[in-house]
Amino acid sequence: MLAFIVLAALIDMGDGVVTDAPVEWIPDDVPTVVVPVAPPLPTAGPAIDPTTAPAPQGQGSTP
Amino acid sequence: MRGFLTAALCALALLIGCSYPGPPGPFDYWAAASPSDVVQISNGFVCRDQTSAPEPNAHGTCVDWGFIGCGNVPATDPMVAWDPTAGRWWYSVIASPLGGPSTVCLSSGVDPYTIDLAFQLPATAFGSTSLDRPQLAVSGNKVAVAINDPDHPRNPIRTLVMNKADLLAGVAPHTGLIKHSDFVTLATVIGADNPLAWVRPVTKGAYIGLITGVPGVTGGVVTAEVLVKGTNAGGDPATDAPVIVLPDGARMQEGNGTLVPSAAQAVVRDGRGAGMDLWLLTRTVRNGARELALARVGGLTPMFAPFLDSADAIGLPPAAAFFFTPSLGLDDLGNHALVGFTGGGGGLFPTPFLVGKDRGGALGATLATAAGLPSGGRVDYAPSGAQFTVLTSHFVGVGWEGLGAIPTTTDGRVAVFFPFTE
Repeated sequence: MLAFIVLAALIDMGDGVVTDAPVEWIPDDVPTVVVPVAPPLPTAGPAIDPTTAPAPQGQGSTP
Repeated sequence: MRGFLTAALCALALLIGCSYPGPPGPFDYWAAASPSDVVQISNGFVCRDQTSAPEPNAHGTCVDWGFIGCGNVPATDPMVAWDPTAGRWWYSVIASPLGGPSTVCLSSGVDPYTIDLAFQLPATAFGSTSLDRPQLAVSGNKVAVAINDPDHPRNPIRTLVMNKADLLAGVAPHTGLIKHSDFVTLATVIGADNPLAWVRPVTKGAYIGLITGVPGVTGGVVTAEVLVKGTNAGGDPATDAPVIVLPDGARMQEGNGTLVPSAAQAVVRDGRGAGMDLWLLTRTVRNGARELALARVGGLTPMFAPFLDSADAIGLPPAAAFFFTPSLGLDDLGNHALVGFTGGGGGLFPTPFLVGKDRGGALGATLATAAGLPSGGRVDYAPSGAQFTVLTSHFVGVGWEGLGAIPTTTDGRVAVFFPFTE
């Protein structure tokens, strides 16, 4: 995997030179990391009234 | 339209709804709008409100949210985005408990309840061992998922950029990974243009990053991160971590204390050949005073020479001590920005507020859109959006986080939507 640094251009904003920041970009030319999920895929269930129905399975998360 | 958000807010400016309840939780909310639907999601429900039948007191038709996990169940942190180019809805969720894969799935068409493609994004795709709080952004030719790495201080973000044509074809996509040096917020994209953008607010302003290329097509993605001074009111957005005591003595905390996800919101707009601009909302502290900084940055394309077009500071409403869950909405012509936030403190139960701004105009009045809610708990995320803004002022009880069962949320959400203009 090739990794390289792309540096942003310097831009004069009028009140001084604006600094740039390095951003590391790692291209992945081997498309095997993200994989399709095999069907069948789940389908939406029947309509429910969220004001009266208990909340379905779910969990809050930290950020 | 000066005075866009004044007394006639709901009657004149909004076609869909104003100040109406959203779906109950559990928490972690997001929403997106297409020309015909508004989709709101939580860790429990996916709700579809078809705009052809405005109901100011409804959340539309709701179903169990499980199907958007696309096999990744249980899941958490759902996000939704409308893709005007493909005419489809994109969803992302992350495995729960954290550490499992993230999933992106795609509706087969304009119906948000029918899924026909899904992709699994393992933690290794992000170069991480633990994933948290995905951000989802969709442009004309790319889909990006940015994820916190909770194993690293200050949650530096890894953004996985995927070739959208590959995804639409149902094949493993060409990808690229951006390793950011700190927390960043992916901008919501309005319109069908190709670039994606991110923002990284700092004390001097905000770094604006741009992703223009397409993995697997152009030989790599051109990225740049340029500091645009003055977009931030001056403080460090990462240091504002409000944990307050409400008038009833209950403690309130946002986002479990890891607040960077709410430090900034951004919307980038497709200028239809005239370049793009970006609206940025940053929570900050200047001279000891808490503020929300609202800035417009122009010059994103084609030469990527960003400049600060306008900047405003929104002060705290009377009796409020903190801003929670800042939210930013923008109409697709870039003429109106709408800021939502929850304000609260020792003298004010958390209350949802709105502030509007027209391009070239002054900030409108700060409006309280609902009464504050006495309760303990935390204020949760508020999405940034295209054509809409949603803010949350709901609460989960103090029993959350291992101290007890997840309680029922008190539904105090407010959703405001702009009319579509195309």
